[in-house]
Amino acid sequence: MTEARTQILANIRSALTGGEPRTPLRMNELKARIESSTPKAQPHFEDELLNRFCQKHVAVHGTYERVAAQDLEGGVLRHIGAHQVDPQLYLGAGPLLDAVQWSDQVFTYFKSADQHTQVAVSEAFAAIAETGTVVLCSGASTPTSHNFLPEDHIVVVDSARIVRHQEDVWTLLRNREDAAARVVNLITGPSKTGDIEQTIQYGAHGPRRLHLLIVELA
Amino acid sequence: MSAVASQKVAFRERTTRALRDSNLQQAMGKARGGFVDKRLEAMAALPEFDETRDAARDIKDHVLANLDGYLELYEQKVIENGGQVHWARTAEEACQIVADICKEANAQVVTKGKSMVSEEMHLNSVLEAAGLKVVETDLGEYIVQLAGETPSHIIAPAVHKTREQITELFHEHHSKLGYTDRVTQREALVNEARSVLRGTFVTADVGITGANFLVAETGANVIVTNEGNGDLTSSLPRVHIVTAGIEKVIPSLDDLSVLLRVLARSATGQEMSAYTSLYSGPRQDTDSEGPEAYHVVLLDNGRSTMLGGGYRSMLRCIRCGACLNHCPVYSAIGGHAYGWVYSGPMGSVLTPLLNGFDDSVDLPNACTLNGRCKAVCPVRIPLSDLLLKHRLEQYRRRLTPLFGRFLVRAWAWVATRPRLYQGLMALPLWLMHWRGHRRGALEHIPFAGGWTDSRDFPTPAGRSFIRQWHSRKGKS
Amino acid sequence: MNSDKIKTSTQVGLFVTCLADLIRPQIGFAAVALLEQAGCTVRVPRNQTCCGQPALNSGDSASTIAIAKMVIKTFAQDDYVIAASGSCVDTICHKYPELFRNDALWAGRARALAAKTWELTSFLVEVMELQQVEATYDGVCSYHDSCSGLRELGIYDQPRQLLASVVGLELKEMNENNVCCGFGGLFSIKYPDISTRMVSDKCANVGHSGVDTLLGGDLGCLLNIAGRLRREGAPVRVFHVAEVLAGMTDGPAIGEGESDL
Repeated sequence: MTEARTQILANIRSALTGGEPRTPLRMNELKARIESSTPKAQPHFEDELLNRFCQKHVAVHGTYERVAAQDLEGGVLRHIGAHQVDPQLYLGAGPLLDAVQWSDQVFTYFKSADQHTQVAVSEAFAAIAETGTVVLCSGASTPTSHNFLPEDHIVVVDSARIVRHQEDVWTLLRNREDAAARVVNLITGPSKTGDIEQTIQYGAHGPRRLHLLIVELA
Repeated sequence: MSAVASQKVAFRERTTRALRDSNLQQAMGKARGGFVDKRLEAMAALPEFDETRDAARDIKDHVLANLDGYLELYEQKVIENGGQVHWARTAEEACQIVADICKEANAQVVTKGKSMVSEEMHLNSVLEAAGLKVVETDLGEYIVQLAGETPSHIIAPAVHKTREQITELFHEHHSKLGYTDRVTQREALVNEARSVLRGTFVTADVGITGANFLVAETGANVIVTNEGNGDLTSSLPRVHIVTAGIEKVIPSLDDLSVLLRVLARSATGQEMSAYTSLYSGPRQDTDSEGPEAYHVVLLDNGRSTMLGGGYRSMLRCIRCGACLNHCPVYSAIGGHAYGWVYSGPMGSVLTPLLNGFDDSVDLPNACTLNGRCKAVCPVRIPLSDLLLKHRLEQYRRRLTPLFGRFLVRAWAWVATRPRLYQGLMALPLWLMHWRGHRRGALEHIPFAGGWTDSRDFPTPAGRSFIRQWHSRKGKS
Repeated sequence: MNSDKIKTSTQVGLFVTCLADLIRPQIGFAAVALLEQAGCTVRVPRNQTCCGQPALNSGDSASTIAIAKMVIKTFAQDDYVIAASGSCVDTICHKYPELFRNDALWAGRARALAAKTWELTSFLVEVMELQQVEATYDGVCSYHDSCSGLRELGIYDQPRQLLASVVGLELKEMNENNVCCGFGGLFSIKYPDISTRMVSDKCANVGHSGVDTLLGGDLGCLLNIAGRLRREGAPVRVFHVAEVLAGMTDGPAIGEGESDL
């Protein structure tokens, strides 16, 4: 095992430097490049972030509703009502979601999704205007399975968390107070496949529908 | 020599078969143009596309020039995150590592996300021989697995299958699971696969995925999919194993963004694939779920050797498939004719380097050097130039047929003696002209059946330009 | 380059290309006529045969180098070197300097040749600033963009710009005009099945476009396409773009016989 590691690294070094080992100085240069990393070659656009985000999200077959924070349950009910889904919600967590007082119109679960899960409601860590992407981080009350097993994935987005470029998310992640998230999912539209006749079908293995509830706080 | 000759026959047989396979031709015909048009639209929507390609190339070049350093930094991070990194010099070593991990985990069922490196390792057959049930979960890979085949395209594994063939495959394999109706519509086919695979996802002991990138900054492996199968494979089983080539490491998350901007656009014309996910280790104390163990198997398999030679730029490849989608030869013969895991232009460059020059003599030659692959590559790999480089290397190694080499050499000898050349050409030109000038074209030319079996040959004028010019103008 | 010199009389050497030389000399005469029309003095050295592509593409660098040295010597004295073929010009401009990369003496010479070598239509438009030609062609034409010209030399607008001035000519683009026709030099003989499939696709696109004439800038591609069109019995005439621009379309098109006229 270590033998393979040693040999591969030695091969690389002999290909690159004629076999010289990396000096600590050069390793530090590489570390410094990572630590001082900055965005490169970003696309330029001036659109207002919320509009751009919504447009891009719709372009990838997503749906959304702009709702008041007090009306989150209403938003959830309208979506599952429209699709006649049983209101058994697998709930994630987040400042907006945690504040909701769920009525007895819904059943709520705080656990991992399973293969029969119909609906999960998550709150986005951030969202990206550039591509209409929502960003979800794993954690104690935000299981990754919620993002992939349900038929319907409803994601609450705080409009103040919509950033311009993807790199802005990395900045938010680096500055996050909690421990680094083990899993970061960048989700852009519902699950789909083009594997049969190169024609897009939605709902391949992940959620068939991705519905956003966008909250604009004053 | 005999091995080379048999391979040559084999390639020709495979192409002939492919060109006559009406299902393949129908499927490839449907795919043709779709990827090309979508990529064009995506490019048009991003004015900075070329600038981003330059940045992507520069990032990859920087990594390759410091590959050992970044691999060590990446490894450190994975270990800090609680994962394990395994190094494999060869495909066999890599398979052994994966098999051992599965054995230690007492695994019975393994789900797989799409991983070209695991195809390169022929991992499935090794795991199956070890008694494991291995299930491919990418729909295309699943179809191909049911058919007992290998992927024919690096991002669209079942591009060569028609819907009718998929209907039959599903009927054959799913009937015993209770899906007795023969479904023919795309949506129904997708739903049936979804439903069949659901149970497998939640019962699998080990999930194996590839990696589009390995980020040294955080120790995360990044997978990019549209179906979500890769995420289910990464997050549900007890053990997650990532198989990746050593060239997949990149420095930072900002570098990742640049590469992601060119990846999906070049592959499918999307701005972003549906799911871009970063997985950086096993379940932590604070997690409510996730794999108990996280392993990364780094495969060399000839890559470190490629770093030193004139083929280093090939290691920039991010496996987007744009060169396949734009290659008219690939479009004509499909991926299986290439004979190994990687096909199209990138395959024709990689196969001799990873799998040996001797057994892949045809690949660099079965190309018109039309350069479309080079023009569309998101990381600006000069693919057609590398194919030409392969031809020079084959000539040096005397791998091409002796008679052909002799003919070219003899022709070149004459071509460097213009008077002799002009004299020698006069008679055949006149003969061909005499034979064909009334019709304008020859329907058969001796020893050029390859041309005239399917095409006429326009008749030469009878007297060369140089001779006509100099007899008109006197000598200059 | 010195623009005064261009305006007075620009001296050019014509690299005929082996295919035009042997099979369709009229392309050479058309090139000379166009260059003279644009104000050039044309020299056609006798010491030329081929640019060496067949050897290079077969991997035979030694033979290619021998041929390249001959070409470099032959055209050393010319101010410009012009060829009516994108692929030959690509070979001279991009492959020669690469071949001599490690040869201090010849590398400079190869680069010097590369710097003054141009494909015919791009030279006429970009260097001679030719705006229009005096020619008439009664037909609806499509233009096949040859691969090396298009992708290595960036030739797309130049021939179209000149064709726009041909009286009576209508240009209609076909689908996949930038996709290879399957010629590829020796490829077409070594892998005839694949080549045939590719040229058949090309001919189908020509057919769908509904044109009566196909034009292009590389005789290799044109021989391939014309040969296949003829075998399929398609009534499409094929000319090199130089022939149309020079008004030399009275005789048989490529692959046409005296009996066709």
